[in-house]
Amino acid sequence: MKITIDGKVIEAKEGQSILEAALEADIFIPHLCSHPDLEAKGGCRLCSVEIAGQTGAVPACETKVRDGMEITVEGETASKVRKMAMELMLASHPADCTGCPKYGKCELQSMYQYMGVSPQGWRKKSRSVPNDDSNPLISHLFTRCVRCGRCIRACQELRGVKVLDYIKTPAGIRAGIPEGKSLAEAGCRFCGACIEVCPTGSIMDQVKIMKEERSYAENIVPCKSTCPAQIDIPRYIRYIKEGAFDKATAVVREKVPFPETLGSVCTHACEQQCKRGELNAPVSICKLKRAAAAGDSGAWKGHVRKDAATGKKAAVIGAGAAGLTAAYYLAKKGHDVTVFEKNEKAGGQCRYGIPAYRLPEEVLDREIQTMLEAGFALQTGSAAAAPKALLEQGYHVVLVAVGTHKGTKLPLEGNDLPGVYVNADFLKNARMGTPLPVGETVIVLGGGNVAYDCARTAVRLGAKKVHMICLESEAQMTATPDEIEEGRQEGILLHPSHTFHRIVGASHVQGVEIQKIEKFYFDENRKPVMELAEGSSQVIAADQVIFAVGQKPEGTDALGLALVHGAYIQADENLKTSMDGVFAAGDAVTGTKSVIEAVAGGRKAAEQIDLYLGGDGDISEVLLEQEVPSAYIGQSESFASLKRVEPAVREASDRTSDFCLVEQPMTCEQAQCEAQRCLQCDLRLHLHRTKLWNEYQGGV
Amino acid sequence: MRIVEKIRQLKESECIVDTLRSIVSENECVQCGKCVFGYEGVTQLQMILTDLTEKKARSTDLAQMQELCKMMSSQSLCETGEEIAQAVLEAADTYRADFEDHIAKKGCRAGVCRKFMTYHILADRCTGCGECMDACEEEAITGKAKFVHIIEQKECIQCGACMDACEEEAIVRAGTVKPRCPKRPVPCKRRD
Repeated sequence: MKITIDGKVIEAKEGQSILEAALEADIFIPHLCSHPDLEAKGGCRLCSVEIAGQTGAVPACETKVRDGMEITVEGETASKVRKMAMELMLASHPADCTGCPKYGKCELQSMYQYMGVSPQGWRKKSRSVPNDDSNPLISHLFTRCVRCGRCIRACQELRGVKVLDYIKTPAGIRAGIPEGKSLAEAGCRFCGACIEVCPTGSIMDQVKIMKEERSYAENIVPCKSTCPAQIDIPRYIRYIKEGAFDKATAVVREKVPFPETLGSVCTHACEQQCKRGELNAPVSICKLKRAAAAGDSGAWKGHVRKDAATGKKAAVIGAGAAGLTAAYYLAKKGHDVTVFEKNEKAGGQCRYGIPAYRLPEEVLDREIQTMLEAGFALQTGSAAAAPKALLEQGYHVVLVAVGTHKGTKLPLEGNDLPGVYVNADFLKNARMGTPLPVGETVIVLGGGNVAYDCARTAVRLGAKKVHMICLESEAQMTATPDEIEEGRQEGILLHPSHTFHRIVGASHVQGVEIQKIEKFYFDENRKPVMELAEGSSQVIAADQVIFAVGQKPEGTDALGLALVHGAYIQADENLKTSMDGVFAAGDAVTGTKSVIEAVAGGRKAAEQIDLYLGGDGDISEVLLEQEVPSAYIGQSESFASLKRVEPAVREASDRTSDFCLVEQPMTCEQAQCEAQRCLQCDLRLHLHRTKLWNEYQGGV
Repeated sequence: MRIVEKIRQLKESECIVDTLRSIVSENECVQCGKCVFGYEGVTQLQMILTDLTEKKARSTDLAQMQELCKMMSSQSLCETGEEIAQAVLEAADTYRADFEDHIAKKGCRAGVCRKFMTYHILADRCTGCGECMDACEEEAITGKAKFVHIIEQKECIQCGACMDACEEEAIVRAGTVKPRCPKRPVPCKRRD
């Protein structure tokens, strides 16, 4: 149907309100209490208009369109209503806009500036309420509440959580939590819809979670934005909650090719950022991924991308996480890819660095096998020719992803005594079934996750006593708290804040001399300064010493590429090396990081290489149709205190005698239960963003 | 009783402005908050009427109230807002002179609005006990033992505390007609 607004004929749909039709046609009518996702109530009267043939003004949000309707927005009566309504609101609203956190983004501010209205002439009323930051994630600044009821309608009707309502206070009526409860006590699910729809600065995200370096969407869903591969975490967790494990895996697989491996070993930086952490503990994102992948039927395979052959040949050196990921996506883009792996099997650090009790051989084998279905060649047990030679052999492009497989030793007296090992050799030999000899007592030097891998491997190889010595205090150690705790259960003796002076021994390792660090800091020249506790020097006896203080690339000097910081391959932001047609990615470029960083690096390399080969650089894949999640989440008893679900873990006494899995994947029930804890922060982004007047054509 | 009835049946001893002020303060709109004209409108009426009873009116108040109430009666979300607005409009019409007296700060005809009243100590009743002096926080009362006390009208804020404190009922509130009182303390006639 057609209606006329201020003389302009626009198309309107049956059942639409005048306001909806106008805004859709890019004609601005002031409004405040209405929101595209909420039922109109007509309380603010800012959208008052006049209709030909009718006396008086009516609210445009509550008046349905009729064919041929003639509407005047700025008629005398309507303008008078609108002006007085705004003046009345401003008369009881704090005037210090510049001191408000919503300054510049506030709908009320934008609206009164558009209308050129001030509360002059009316009596001012202060309805002051102390700001409340006592709830997790959400700040309440109800002094600025204009009683539009949007947060209440969002909480009650849209979400069905029914926490917020109009409440009576000595300072007047406002939105709030009845009965003086906290949000958690009232059953809040912390979905943030109230924040999203609040037109003023009354309900805000807590300042500490809104980081300046991140975009709005990145701040709203920090798990996803923190993931190096940008996995759509809330989306897959929602599927797990519904028991749709296949769909969940499809979501994960849209970004990463090793869901179960990552579910087992990922460093899960996402969980550090999970907003649920502000309530009690973060959602167990990593373990949920593993549970979903463990129950995967492969239904996603029906949707995989396979572009037509391009006739371009790519060589990948190194079949670790980065190399395999790049090969996988390049193959999907139609390129002819061959991966060269020096070791007997593919997998890189996942195979030779991570102990089997964390990542079993069969999981890795299965996932690599699945990747090969993308159609690329894998040559193991054969060192690749140098990049230049490969290019000469007819490859159009080469990716170097050789990782960091060489353990480093510190320049310490006695570091070449028999019985001194480095992390990479020790772990690789153990993984290959040819472990290096281990005596009664082993000392591991280092405080990261790899140091724990070494220490826990030594325990499993029969060492009776394993010491770990690191410079950092326990709080500063890079090992995850889980690792530290599991190591403690397995009897590992941790000596944090200790320096090591020398390895003692004549013809074989006999021990390490260590001393307690009292203070450790960086001076004004940013040089590290260590103050030692006098008289705390001691020698810890040991049969073997394992350096776990870092790894570096091996053999990169023979590649004919420019290197940096010693053995690392120099690559620009697009992963191009010093040689045209040669790219590099993964640990060999970034230094030892994590599997997920390597996967992200592999994806980036695939994009860049595809561009180089004349493609569009788009490796995205849709393995599952996008569904719009339900806005209604309903009530959930004691939601805020739901405990994090922990999967079954073998007892320390049992698990230290073999290399079998320490931790089982969550059962389906456990996973569904844990997934319930997700706040579904992403639902907020599905709400319509309200536009300010200057974003409408008809508004300027 | 409907609001309009209450206004129509106003007694001689009741002040329309003060009655309206208390009707508005008890109105349901104060407890709701769902519409701007109902909630903020009633808030404004409350503030304006309170100022009128407290001798703090502005000359434009009557016109502004009428303007506001016309808007409230057509733009409130429910009948509660309409009803109160119409009651105010009718009252302003019927008792226009009373409103104007309050606005012009001439007085409160019914003798209800305290700020328009003065307090006086009757010489024949005062025993010079000093209780009223103790009760007056403004120190607006002068006097000494066995002498009739005097209220300094310039200092008095019409709080009425002295009247409550006086057990002899020697203190009275006066509207337009004032009692004759001594200008400075004189010996008391009453000696008990």
